[in-house]
Amino acid sequence: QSLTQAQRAVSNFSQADIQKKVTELVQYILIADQKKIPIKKKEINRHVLKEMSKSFPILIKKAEEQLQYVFGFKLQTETTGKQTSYMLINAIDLNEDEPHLKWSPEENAKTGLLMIILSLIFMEGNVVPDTKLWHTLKRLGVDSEKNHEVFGDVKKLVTQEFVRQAYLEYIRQPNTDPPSFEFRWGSRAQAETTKRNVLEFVCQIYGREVDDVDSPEYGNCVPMELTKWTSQYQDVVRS
Amino acid sequence: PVRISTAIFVMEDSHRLFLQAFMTHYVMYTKEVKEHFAMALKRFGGDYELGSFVITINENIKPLNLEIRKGISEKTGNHCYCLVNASENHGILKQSSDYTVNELEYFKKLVGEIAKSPEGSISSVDALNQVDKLENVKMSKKMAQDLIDRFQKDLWIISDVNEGHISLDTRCILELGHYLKDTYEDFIVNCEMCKQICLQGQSCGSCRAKLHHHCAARCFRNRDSPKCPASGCGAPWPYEQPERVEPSQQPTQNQGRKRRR
Ligand SMILES: [Mg+2]
Ligand SMILES: [Mg+2]
Ligand SMILES: [Zn+2]
Ligand SMILES: [Zn+2]
Repeated sequence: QSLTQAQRAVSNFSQADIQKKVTELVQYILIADQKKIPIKKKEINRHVLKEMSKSFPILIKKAEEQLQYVFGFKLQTETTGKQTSYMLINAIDLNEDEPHLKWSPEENAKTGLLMIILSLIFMEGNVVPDTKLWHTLKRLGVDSEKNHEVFGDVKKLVTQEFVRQAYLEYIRQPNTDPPSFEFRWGSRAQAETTKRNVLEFVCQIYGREVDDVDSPEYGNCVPMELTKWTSQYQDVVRS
Repeated sequence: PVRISTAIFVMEDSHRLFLQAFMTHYVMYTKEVKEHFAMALKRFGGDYELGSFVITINENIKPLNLEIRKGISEKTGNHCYCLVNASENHGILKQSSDYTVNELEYFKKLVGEIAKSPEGSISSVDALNQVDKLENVKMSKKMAQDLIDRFQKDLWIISDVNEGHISLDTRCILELGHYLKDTYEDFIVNCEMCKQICLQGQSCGSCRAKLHHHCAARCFRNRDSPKCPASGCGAPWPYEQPERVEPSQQPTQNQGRKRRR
């Protein structure tokens, strides 16, 4: 479907109608993203655009612009065969030049938690099922079912905030009911952080005295099997 | 045609980052809001004051029927900010990404019963009994209890286990305030002090006047014999005020106690 076809189609509608449709489209995308439902072109045409489906390229572009301008979200397109689907990722430049230590204790703790999650994903062969991640965090003293003293709603932090920031990918597994998900490194983690840095970080933390591990920033952490982590680190260093 | 207001209220990355926090949290208390605000400015610069910063965001999300509203908890007196659905269709009552149509019908029932009550709360037993009044839905009391727990987790309803009653949380009042005043205007009054909708609070014995607990504490601070502030009334106010005025996490400490006669 060409752009000129779409332009011809959209000229049949008033500016007000077009704007209203774009608004509905943006709202649909935001809700679908929040519910982790894949955003598919087919579904958009069926549920949102309807009689304006022929104008899809123009309307999706306007929606994209609004998502970018208002929220700082980028609408990423994925075409697999004949199916086109979309994903929201963060378009805000989050590069900080300042070292993490300048952030609030809460932000430092979040970085620590993220590092641990990235390490776990790496150790598990670059993908980990959500159930395993929650289980591992629980063993470390971070229970995703309960409100955490430092992190608050842990599930939200991990599946929304970290995903928004493109540190993690949280991918719904098809044909699972109730839905199950898996975690992978996000594009930002891959771009910025090498696996060496991640393991180095984790060894630093778990090589500390027990007192430090129990510091308020990490809650009641249970030390992981130290030998497993340090040997992985040696492997990476030697390679 | 560009809306004039959005030409003036320009979004920067600092606004976007702050807004993203609300997309994740929906409800944040003042301390956390200020942290996110500080972080946004630290990262992206800008010389903003929180009030106008939020106005800029609101002007830009208004076309999407979203708005950041500031409210005060009727229970604790704490200030919070909520991202609400500001549409005329009253958002949560008509559609929600979190609840099914049937679940929303039960929610609407609870909200209605609480709005009609003089104290702004109904007993937990009454709340569960509302399943019998549902028209299109068959719901067990167990399902209803699970739902109430979810409403509480999402900060729509407060379920006070000690007192055995449920009431509306700040997020609910901020999003549905207009709807409640319109639909239940015979039942609901505004607080005499702050003029905002008042569900939980202190009622004058002699007239219809009502005060939020935190408004009463402020109004009657250091007064020996507090009197009803409504014009033409002036009756002795039938509540004792606590000595401390600061909002606290323990609601019962902050609320005035009814005097025994
Ligand atoms: Mg937060
Ligand atoms: Mg935060
Ligand atoms: Zn008041
Ligand atoms: Zn009175």
